[in-house]
Amino acid sequence: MNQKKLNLSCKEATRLMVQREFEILPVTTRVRLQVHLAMCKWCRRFQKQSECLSTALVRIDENQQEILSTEKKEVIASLLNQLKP
Amino acid sequence: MHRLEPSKWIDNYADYLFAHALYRTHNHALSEDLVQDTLLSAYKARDQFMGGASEKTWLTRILKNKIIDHFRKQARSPEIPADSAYAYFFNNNTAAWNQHASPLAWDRNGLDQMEQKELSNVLNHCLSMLPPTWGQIAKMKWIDNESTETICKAFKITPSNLWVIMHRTKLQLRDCIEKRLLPSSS
Repeated sequence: MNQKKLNLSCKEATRLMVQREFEILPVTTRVRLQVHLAMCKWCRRFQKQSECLSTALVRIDENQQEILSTEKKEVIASLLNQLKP
Repeated sequence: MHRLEPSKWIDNYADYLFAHALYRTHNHALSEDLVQDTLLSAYKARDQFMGGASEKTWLTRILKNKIIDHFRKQARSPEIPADSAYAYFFNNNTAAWNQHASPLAWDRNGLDQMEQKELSNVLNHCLSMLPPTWGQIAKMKWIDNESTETICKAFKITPSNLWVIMHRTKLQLRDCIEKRLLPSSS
């Protein structure tokens, strides 16, 4: 295997890091990714910040404060009532 | 075993379901209708509730399916990023980070330290800079953990397109947030 094939580019490495959040990568790919991360400080930063971002998306979802208008609640309540036997 | 109490649904879950729908669709009127649709469908299907999951989980699942249905009917295919669209981030020949786009070190733990409101503002701003479907796909995957198959079907894209969109979304969000966190850096 030549050097080019063995080394992942930063573009490939970042794509794999995103995919890795959801899927198990093949062993050889995982090893190549580890090798790349050991050598590349920018991709290490990307990895850390990317994880942080995923957590943040969930955190915001869990803390949504929006409320449904009273008018709409009344409409739904009366529709539900009509369904009752 | 869990039991359903439809008479308490509006008090207990209407706001939660509404916020959930709004964060995913960014459409106020649509989210109101999705909540209505969800509670009415749930009531009609109450005999199918097996009690294995909580009432809240069950209602949320129904809402999620309604949201996916909505995206499917909308049939708005997302923009698929062209390879040239990566040129901002990576060198065209080596595919290594371009100097101006390479990740900077973030202060402490960056987002972890941020106040909820501020984090929400920054993230929503950065999400709004993406094509709308990218944000929707990103949330379905990162928050709801929907399967690749479900998302690909709803948005009529291939799995490899999905990963390109997810990759671009992460790159752009990260870059956007960095610029907001460290406005003085160039």
